[in-house]
Amino acid sequence: MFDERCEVLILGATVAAAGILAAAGQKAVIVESRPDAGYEFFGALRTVRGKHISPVTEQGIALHKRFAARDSLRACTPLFYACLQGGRVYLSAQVLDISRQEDGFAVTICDASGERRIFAQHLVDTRAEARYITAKRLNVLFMSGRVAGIDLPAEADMTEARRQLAEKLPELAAGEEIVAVADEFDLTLADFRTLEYDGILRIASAGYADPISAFDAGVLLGEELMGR
Amino acid sequence: MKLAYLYEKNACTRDVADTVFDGSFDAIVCGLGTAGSIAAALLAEKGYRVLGLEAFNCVGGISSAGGIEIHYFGLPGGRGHALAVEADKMAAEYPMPLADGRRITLEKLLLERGATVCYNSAAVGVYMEKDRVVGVRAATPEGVRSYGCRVLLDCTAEGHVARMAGCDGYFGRTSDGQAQPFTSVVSMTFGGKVGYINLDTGRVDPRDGQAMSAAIIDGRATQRPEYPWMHKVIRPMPLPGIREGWRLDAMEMLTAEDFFAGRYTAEPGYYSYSDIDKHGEDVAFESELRGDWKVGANVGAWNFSVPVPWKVILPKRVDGLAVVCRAVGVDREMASCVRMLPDMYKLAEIGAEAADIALSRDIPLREIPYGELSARLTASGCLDPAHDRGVWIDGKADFDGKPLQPRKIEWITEPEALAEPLATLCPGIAIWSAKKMGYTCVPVLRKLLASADENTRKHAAFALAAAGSREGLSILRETVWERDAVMLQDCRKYNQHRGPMAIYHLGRLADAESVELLGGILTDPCEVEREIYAPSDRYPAVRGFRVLYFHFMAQSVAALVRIGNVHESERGRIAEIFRTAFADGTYAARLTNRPPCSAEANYVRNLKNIAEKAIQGWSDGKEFAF
Repeated sequence: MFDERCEVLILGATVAAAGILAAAGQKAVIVESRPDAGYEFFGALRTVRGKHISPVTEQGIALHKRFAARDSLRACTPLFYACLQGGRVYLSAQVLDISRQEDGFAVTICDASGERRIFAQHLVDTRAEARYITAKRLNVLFMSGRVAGIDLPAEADMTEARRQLAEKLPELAAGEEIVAVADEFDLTLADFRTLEYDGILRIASAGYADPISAFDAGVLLGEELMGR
Repeated sequence: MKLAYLYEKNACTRDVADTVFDGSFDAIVCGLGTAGSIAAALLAEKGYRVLGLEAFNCVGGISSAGGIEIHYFGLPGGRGHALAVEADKMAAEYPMPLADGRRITLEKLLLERGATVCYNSAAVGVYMEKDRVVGVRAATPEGVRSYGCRVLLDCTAEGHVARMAGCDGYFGRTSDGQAQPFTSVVSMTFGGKVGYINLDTGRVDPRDGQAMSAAIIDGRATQRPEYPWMHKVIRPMPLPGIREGWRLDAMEMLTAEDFFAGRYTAEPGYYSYSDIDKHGEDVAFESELRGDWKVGANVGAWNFSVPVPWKVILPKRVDGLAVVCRAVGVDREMASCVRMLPDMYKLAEIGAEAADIALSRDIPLREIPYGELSARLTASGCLDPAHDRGVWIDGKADFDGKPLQPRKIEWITEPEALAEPLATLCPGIAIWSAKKMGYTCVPVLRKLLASADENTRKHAAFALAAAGSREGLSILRETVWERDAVMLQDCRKYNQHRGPMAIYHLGRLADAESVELLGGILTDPCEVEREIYAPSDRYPAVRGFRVLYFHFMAQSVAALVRIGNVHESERGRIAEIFRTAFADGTYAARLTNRPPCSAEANYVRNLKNIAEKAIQGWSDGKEFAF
């Protein structure tokens, strides 16, 4: 009946998801509709919001050390992807159905191979839920390393963001050359701590001030789920 | 009505008689990438109700989110190309990379024309009435939705929708089923500008979701924050650069065999113009047609124009569906040259015009009159007889890095005229001409074997081999024995060294007397110490891959397999050579220290895999097929 089983199925290949994976290993499966991962920080061209990063988990501390050796958050992207290596990760996979079972969840996904039914004891959604998003920002990166952005209402979509970006470019760029426009929104969330409803655990990775904190929170949740 | 979908890579169907569509459109375009965004805009421009489904959050695909701003070849012309140029002109006004600007301007053109665009939405099934596509099941941010349509354009690059609909197709090369290496594109700053580089990461089957995910992750995990020849990495681009994927079994196929034999379509849609692109270093395991062209004659980077049949977009058994992307009906050789951005713009125009004719007349796509389609394509400049350019040496920089002066190639038809180019380091034109002439040129070439001039003697041996003659065998063996590392200069890049070329010809001629010579290259651990394999300007040590040594080894494996195919009595000796050479990992360590997920590690593993497959095949009574 099921093509695959896992203890925890994680929606979104976010940084928090990587933290859960670090704790759960092969007992976890990550399902992501996008072709990339960690987009809420790296794809969003985010800068670190908090000054003091104090991970508490062993894995979080180790990752923090590796990140600290690089001169920018963007330069840490390969280090983040290394956290996903060897994991059961499905990128470009669409979730078709989630149904509650007596002892867990039945999740039907579809990727390039086709449909796949996965049984999971726990389901964790690490993506940002629309109802908690209070603001969005589309960041751009300049040649100098400066990051600036246009602020958007929570309901704005990428089309609207691109329209506004085109309008405000002269003011935003002020003669400086942009080297990259973000692939994803830099989100501000009203609440992002671990919540549970409908039996699904929710931990919005984008809500954390920095990727190390999101990863660390993921590790803690993963350890809890694994009964450690 | 049935829902067609994929399960474990296979097409399946289930009855869905009670499905109610959430909306209906004249045309649905799945994938708003390079081709899909243009096709959707062209159809919307004609007044049709068009729905575009895009899995990512922007249009343009590889030309925007993939960071591929330009392709070096393809020819301009046509409405689709004009639309792309219009988008690029607008994007050039923005102080940002073209790839980023395209996300804004292509989207603007699409929306201005009235197309409905759904981002983060991907087809997960196809609704079918008998053999006709009538709708799409899509995963969208709002949940799973069903949409009806009269025509469906599969612009997913991988033919994902066509595969769901049960269309037949092809993938990979004959020898080991693998495709060209894919690339993880990164943007970088260099010289105060933004540039994109392709970091070849390995090989992957894009039809395999799990393998694809692992390949993307491995590719990005092994990227460095900076590279010596450029400045700092800005970011990895979100879309991987897949060079080769699934190819449709179409109503009319474009094949290299037909092209080289001069068999052209009667119903062209446009002319493609490119070289037979080859990124993998293990060309030794490609088809013999590609081997003869690229290795045997060293003309692999020469361009040629080829008329592309318009029916490469039509599946054989399924109606209401056109494949308008890289997955059209072409063989591997042609797939590597029918994939440039201009190709996608033109395929988009053909798909849109064909759909327009089918929709306006209410007839199946396969029944549209070619006369009407070709008249439209000719009027727009998409199909232009002037694009039938023949063979050219083309590109920006020549083999020596100096500006290249494009020049047309005229094949040699008189045997006596072969001598002059054979005396140079650009003998390719003579070698391929000899192949075309066949035995008529042998008497002239035979005399050249006795020449005191090394180039003439060795290149005449290549030309004789290309013509099917064994008369130059001793010189070919001598060239290998010397480990001749002279690199020829026919091409702007990918030029071959004479040693591996000689090995290739020995294999094609199935020369059993070469077994010991070739075996020594594979089994002697001191072989790697030869000076010719030392890192050089051409092959810097930083890559961690001894390219020339690899070429000698790979061509030796392929040649021994060919010899074993023909001479059953040699199979035991060759199998023993392979077992000795690949008994452990020491051969791999001599060749590369690149990570296991790298393209180079893949090439090195392939040596052993091909050898083992050949041995297994022979024990089962089968010849190894290239």
